[in-house]
Amino acid sequence: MNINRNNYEEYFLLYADNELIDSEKVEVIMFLKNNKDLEKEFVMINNTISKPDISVGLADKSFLKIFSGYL
Amino acid sequence: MTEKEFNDCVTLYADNVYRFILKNLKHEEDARDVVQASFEKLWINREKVDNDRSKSYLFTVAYHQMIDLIRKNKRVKLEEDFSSSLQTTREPQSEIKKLLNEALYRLSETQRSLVLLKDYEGYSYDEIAEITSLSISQVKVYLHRARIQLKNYLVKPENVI
Repeated sequence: MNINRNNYEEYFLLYADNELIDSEKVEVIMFLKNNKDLEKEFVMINNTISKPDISVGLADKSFLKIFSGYL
Repeated sequence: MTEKEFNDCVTLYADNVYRFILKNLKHEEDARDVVQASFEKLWINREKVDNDRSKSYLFTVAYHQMIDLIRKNKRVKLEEDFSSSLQTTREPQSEIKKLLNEALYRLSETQRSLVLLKDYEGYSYDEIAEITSLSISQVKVYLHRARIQLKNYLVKPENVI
């Protein structure tokens, strides 16, 4: 991995997708320390990560289950 | 897969599949139908599906059922206030979350599905490729394009994707 100012976007996207191994993530963070003008872009790309709303779900799942006694 | 393992799958994964489908379809009844059809298919094929693969099998079936449904009904509309209509008791979303939700519905169905499979379920590119029948490189390219579109919307929401 050789992150630089020409290819950083690809690595920011891979970071957001959690497709980098730990050592590669460290390289991205080190790159950001030396390129502070790109921090905002890194943050905005990571802001695109959606979080599931765990309050949304099926209240009753019994209609999906199999009860062999009833077959 | 035993009856108990199947019922455990319902307990463990039904909400995940439902959330994924509901976020795409924006229609609770249709989402329930897709979830039900997916579990029915898992039960029918229980002898062929390893228990370890049951979650990705469910997402694979649900994804394709959902795409079929979208193509048949064309029910998906750009309803920016969708989530607020579903959960009226929830606290107001942060501005970024609200914008991100708007931006998600400006993506194509495929792009949105890739983002949700990645972000909601944490699937790898390889796993998403298997679920969606896309190539790994397509998944990566489509997902990256989607993130760039989302980022551009977050930076400047008046820009239409």
